[in-house]
Amino acid sequence: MKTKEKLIEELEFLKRQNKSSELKQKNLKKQLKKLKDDLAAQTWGVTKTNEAIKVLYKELEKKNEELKKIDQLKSDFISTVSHELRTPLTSIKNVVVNMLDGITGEINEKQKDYLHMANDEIVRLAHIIDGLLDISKIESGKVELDKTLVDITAVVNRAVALLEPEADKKKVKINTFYDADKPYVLVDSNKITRVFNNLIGNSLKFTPEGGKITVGLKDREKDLEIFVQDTGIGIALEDKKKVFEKFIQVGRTPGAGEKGTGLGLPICKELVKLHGGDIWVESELGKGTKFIFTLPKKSEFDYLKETLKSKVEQVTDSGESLMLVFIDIINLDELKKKLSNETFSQLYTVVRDMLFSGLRSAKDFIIPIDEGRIAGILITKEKDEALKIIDRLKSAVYRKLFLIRNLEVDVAISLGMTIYGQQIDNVDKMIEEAGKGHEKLTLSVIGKREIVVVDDETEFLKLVKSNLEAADEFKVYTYSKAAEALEGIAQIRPEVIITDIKMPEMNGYELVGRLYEYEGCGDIPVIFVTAYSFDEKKLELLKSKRITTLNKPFKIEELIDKINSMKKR
Amino acid sequence: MKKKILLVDDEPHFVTTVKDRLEMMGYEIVTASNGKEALEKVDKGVPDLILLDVQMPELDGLEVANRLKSSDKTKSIPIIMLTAKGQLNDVGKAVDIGVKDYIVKPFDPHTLAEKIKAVLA
Repeated sequence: MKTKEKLIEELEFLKRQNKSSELKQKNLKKQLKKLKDDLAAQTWGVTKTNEAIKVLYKELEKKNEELKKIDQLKSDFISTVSHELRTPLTSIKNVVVNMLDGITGEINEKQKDYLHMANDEIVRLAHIIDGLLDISKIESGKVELDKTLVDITAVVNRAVALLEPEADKKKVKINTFYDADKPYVLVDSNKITRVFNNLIGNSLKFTPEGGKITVGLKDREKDLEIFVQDTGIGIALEDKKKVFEKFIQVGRTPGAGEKGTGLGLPICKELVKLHGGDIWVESELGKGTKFIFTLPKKSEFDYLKETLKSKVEQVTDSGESLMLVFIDIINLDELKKKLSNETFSQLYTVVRDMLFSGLRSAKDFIIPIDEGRIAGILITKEKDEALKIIDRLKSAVYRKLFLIRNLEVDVAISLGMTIYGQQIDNVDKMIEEAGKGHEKLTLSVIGKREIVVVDDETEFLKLVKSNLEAADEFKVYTYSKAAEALEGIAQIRPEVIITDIKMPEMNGYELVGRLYEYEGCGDIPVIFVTAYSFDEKKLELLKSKRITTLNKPFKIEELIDKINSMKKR
Repeated sequence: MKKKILLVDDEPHFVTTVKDRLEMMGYEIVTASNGKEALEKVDKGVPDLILLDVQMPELDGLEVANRLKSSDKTKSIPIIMLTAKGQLNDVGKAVDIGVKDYIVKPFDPHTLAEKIKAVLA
């Protein structure tokens, strides 16, 4: 029967299938077991690897510590040795120079030559010791850069001017080539001058008579490329890599006094590296050499952010108080129009120094942001101390402005936020907040004549202020309480004080009597105003001061006449 | 009258060579090899100038300068400090104390001679 056959067939099929699925299952089980085993093996492997990594890491840390120690030892060693070498060298130099000068009796020409040779070598040895000390300082991280915003062309010009006499002697011409619009960089100008001195000096040494040295700048997107190119003897290909190694002197034809220290280029390399730049050399034997280095055009703003970030971290750890202060020259454009570049940079320096002197006792940090703005980061132990510094800073700003008054500079001081060891990860926000402050806290408008008016009648104050300021010549500060006025006067140091006599708490006579308590305020002229009569006895007591009186009510012209009559002697 | 210079340094060869040169220039030289000795020599006779090394055993140069400047009898004696490079901090202190000048070792003997002439002029 067809059905039976079919059934048997199906049964056979099922059996086959069953068998195959059993087989499959077996296989799967096998695979699963293998996977499990593998996994176990892998886990074991990973654990072992982890352990091994840990051990290696520890070893690496230890090695690193050791290396650091060795490095420190090396630096200490070099600096000690350098000091110890100088002492005998001083005596040897004295011996040789004394003999050369005939102090020990006459010497013949040959002896003189020999002593000159000895002296040349002493000078060279002294240079090597200096160089060693310098490089050990740099390598041990003991050199801190005093970065300021400088026009790099000024640095180049100075270095060139310094080496020109030597170049003239050798009949080598030094040219400069500037392909940069406004090559301001944030560098330690002494250190960069040193780099130029070494590079140009090096070129001078290897450039024959009639040759040419070109110092140039190229403005690139992210950095400034600076080169010193000569038409000298060049450096062989195999020597190019070695020029920046210590004590390697390549391509030399040693002549008297021509041998260097073998440290000039390594020092250049370290100094450029310290500035975040790069240095390399291109050269062809017989055609000349070109030393090229870069200085990153990191903006001052980036630099501020970087510094601020690290200082915030420091404060977070130590629980100190940090504050960000901006000083702005508000009328920058106007000033730049009025002043020569030179005067402007002088002014800039004055403002910067003023900030420095105001901050010095705090562990502070000053960064020029751009020509019109300087940032100061103040770190203090206590908040009170911070506030005191701000107060002092205000008066420091004021005093300095007083000195440069004829330059008519408006300076606004802006105080940033103060934080207490709390985590501030958004430095941008901090800068933004600090930047906001400066409109509010305009300290004083210099260039206008400043007058302080004190009266308990606020209507009178408003009237005098609006009338006087209508003249556009005066800036009027008003106070309704004598005690507050004293504080204000101490900061503003106005040209003239106008004060009412009858006031609650402290009257006008007393106010004037107490002026001497505030530095530099004792002889500010005073105009007493009152609707009543004056107390002649009290006025007599104040006669050593420049005082005058005016009866209320008065016309504004009368007041201005009085103010003008009080002009400083 | 020859001007009298007190030379204070603990390096005998340095002292000899400087002394020879200065005597040749017509000065009378008294020497001391440490700070204590220097003060004793000043006690015996006030010199017109003192050349004073900074780093010395017994009393160092700064302390000697300090003591000389705080005594009425000796405070007007001009002092030139002799210092090694890298001791500029000491120079700062010395200037605060009131020394006239300083010179960094190793120096050119002619420079020292110029400085002495300038101070004694």
